[in-house]
This record gives sequence, C-alpha cells and structure tokens, in this order.
Amino acid sequence: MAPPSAMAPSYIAARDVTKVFDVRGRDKVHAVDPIGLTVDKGEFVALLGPSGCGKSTLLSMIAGLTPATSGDVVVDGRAVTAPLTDLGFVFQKDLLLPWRDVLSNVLVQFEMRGQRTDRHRETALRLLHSVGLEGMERRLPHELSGGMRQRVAICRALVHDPPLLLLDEPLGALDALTRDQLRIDIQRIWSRDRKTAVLVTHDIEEAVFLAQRVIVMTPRPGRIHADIPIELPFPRRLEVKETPEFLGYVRTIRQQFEALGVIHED
Amino acid sequence: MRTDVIRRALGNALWPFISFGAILLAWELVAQLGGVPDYMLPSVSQVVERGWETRDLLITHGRWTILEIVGGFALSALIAIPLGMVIVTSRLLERLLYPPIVALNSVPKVGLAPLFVVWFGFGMAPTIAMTALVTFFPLLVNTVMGLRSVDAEMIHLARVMAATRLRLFLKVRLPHALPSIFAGLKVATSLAVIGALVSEFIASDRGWGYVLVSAGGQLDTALIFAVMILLSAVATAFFYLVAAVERLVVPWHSSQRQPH
Repeated sequence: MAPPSAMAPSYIAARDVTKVFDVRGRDKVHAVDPIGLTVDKGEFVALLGPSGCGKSTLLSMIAGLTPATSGDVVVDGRAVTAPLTDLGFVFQKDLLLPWRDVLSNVLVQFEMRGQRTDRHRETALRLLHSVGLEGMERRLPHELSGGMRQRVAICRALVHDPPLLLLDEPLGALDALTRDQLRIDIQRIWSRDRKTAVLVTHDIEEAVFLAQRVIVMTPRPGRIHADIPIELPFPRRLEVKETPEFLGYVRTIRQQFEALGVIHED
Repeated sequence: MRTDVIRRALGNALWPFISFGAILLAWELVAQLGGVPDYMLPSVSQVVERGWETRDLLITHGRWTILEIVGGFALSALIAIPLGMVIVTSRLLERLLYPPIVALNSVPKVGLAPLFVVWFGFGMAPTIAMTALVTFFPLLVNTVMGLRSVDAEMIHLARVMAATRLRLFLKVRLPHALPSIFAGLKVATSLAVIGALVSEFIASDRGWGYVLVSAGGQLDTALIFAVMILLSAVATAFFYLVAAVERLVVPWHSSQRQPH
C-alpha cells in the first residue's frame, strides 16, 4: 500500500499514476486511482483483479500505449512518454495476421521494425519448437487451435529477446486444459530467461501459479489492495496446485476479494 | 482424386442446370400454349432465333456496352479505393470528406443521366461517368470500413513493434481490408451494368441499352429478351471474374475456404 521509494532501483516504477477517461456527456470515469507499483528486474508480477478494475489500463500505461492522466511511469530508468518498443506484448486475442503462416507471423516482429528477417529465422524456429509447434511453421492461423495460436503469439512477443514481457490476460480465451498447458509453457520460458514480466489476470490460481508477487487490485477505480509475495519454489509443476501452501495463497486472496465485496456467497 | 473433383463439379452444376431447364421449359409452354400474343411474351425458341438473326448487331453494340461497363468500373475503383485510403489516414480528412460524400450518395444517381449528356455530350463519355458514379459509393464505403475495422489492440501491438504508419498500413490495414474491398467490388459489378444501361437509354445511339430502347419502340420483344439474357450473362461473368481474382488475392479469408 505504501508508495514506493523513489530511490528503489526498480525496473518498472509507477508513481501515483491515475487514469481518468473523459466520456462525453457523462461523468468522468476513474479507471485507475493513484497507484504506486514497482517491479524489479527479472521479477514476475501478476496484477489480479475483477474485470474493469483498470489493471489492463495500468499495463497499457506501463507500455506507454495509454498516457497517464497524472503521475509518471519509469521503465529501465527512463520516463515513459511514448510506446515502449523494447518489450513483448501478448493480448487475450492472438492477433495473428490470417494471411501469414506461423513462421511469418513470428517474424513480423522484425518486419514491423523494418529489419531483415532472414537472420532471425533460426531463433523463430527454435522458439516455435520449444512450445511444441514443430511442423506447424507453414500452417495458416485458421488451421491451428486456439492454444496453438496463442503460443505463436507468445513466440512473436519473445523472438526479439526483449527484456520485458507484458501479458494482458493471455489465456483468457482458452479452455481449462489448454490454459494449464500454456501456464506451464509460460513458466518454463520465464524460468529460462528471467525476463521481467507483468501478467494481468482475473484468475487467482493463474496469478499464484505463475507469479512471484501478486498485486490484488480493488474494483474500479482500481487501487492496490494488497501485495502478496508467493514463496513457492520454481520450477512449479501442476501438482503444486494441490499443496497446502498453494491453497493457502488462493484462500488468502479470495478472502481479500470477499472483503472487497467482489465475491459474495449470497 | 482428380476425377472426384470433376464429378463433384458436375454434380454441383447439375442442380442449377435442372432448375434453369425447368424455367425455360415452363416459359416455352406458356408462350406456345398459353394464348399470350408473341409481342407480349415470345417463346424461348423465338428469342433464340431473333438473337441469332441479329448477332452482328448484338456483338457490335455488346462490345461497346461491355467496354463502358468495364471502363466505368475501373475508373471508379481507381478513384474510390485510393480515396478511401486517404480518408482513413486522418480524422480531419474523414470529418471533412466523408459526410458530404455520404450525403451525395442519397442523390438518386440515375436521375443525373440527362445532366451528364449536357456535361459530357452524347456517346461513351456520359455512360462511363454514370457507371463510375453508381459504383463509386459501395467501393468507397467498403474500402473505408475495411481499413477501419482493424482491431484496436492490433494497432497497439504494431506500436510496440515500432511500426511506422506506412508499415502498419501496408502490412496490417491494407491486407486486412481486402475482403471488404472485394465485397464492394462484387456489389459494384451489377451496379455497373445498371449504370451503363440506364445511361445508354438516353445518352447514346450505341450499346445494348440503345438496342433495348429501339427494340421496345418496334415491339420487337424477342430482341429485348435476347439482349436481357446477354446482359445477365455478362453481369454474371463479370461477378465471377472479380470473385476469381478475390480467390487469388485473399485465399486466406474465411469466405474463400472450402467447406470440409
């Protein structure tokens, strides 16, 4: 809850950030009330909250895609005033280009930057293979399942080896089994590279399973309600979900949401 | 496998063949036995006979009309599609240009044919202008809609990939808009035929539209039917030609996929 110290050598530092949407003809919508948030280099943080709590807006402000109404965001020592380009972004929709095959959808990361793609083919192929997509390189997106498509989107976000990974409900559109598989994939990739990662989700289990720290947000206007370190050792396997420690975290967080009135029994 | 494909194609062609055959047969029977005078409803055989007799005339005038249809269509596409691209590049241009263009669309355009005679004279020019005018709006609107319909998050993604506006346009917006642009082109094919025909009614002494008017004046109903059948065939062929180009250009789009 306490505002972070300005001296902290954090990779991401949001200071008193607010976002007010001016909806014409209506009252102003306070999407994000003053938020202070820091993320260390190499840390995996989850922003957890109900729909419409401003967590995606906060992520968007970190990326420089949405200007903050007040306050400031610093990433890697520089104030964010324009879209950051040295990051990977995964959205809920896979946003694959339907006219491009899988490999070309990953390499679009370089094409958009005006770079040649040929020297990055090997990296792209290696990444695709590491998430179980060997043999799929020449398929078009419509020939793939939702989980495979989202894996391609994850490869696209990683292929240029960015230091920061932003995940905006990346598994929200997938079925439960596929979601479990992708959580394992995401965790393996993160454990390997230790990139700074911020995950936006409304799934308590997902946040606890993936993150080192879970930030619990209040309903709109979004504020930080609790900041809970998850001290489960990595690598975490699916079995961890049945351990008392894991269930303890899930219960603690659910109680927070109950206290906030987000969940009620009757 | 190849014979399979051919058999399926033949199977697909069989049913419309039967329905068309039934319609022609019914027409022939009504015309021959129904007591309807020939000048009201000529029989199919009379129409075919009249069409064959006048084949030189039909070919000469047909060439003229087809040239006008394709010319007007092409002119319209060359203006409307780039204009649509310009309109979506800036909010200002969109607010400036789009409302008056949409307002102009409510003008019943074929009513302008006499004005086009005054402006462009008699012959091919007013007809090409009319054809271009009636096909203009669906082409423009479909281009604008297609270019605009890109997901907002896709734009965000492109921005964090450091895409310039030009690259965003070429690699995302334009290919994304192609199915919509082709939908506009397909609608425009039948409008182009109507535009050319209406203009020829009053602004030309050549073309199938002119043939229709003069045949009507002489109660030459068989010739009218012959021309109408040819016009429908040309409109259908034009539509499928555009559809074939679409299959080549946007094979990835869901509308082009073969059902499994």
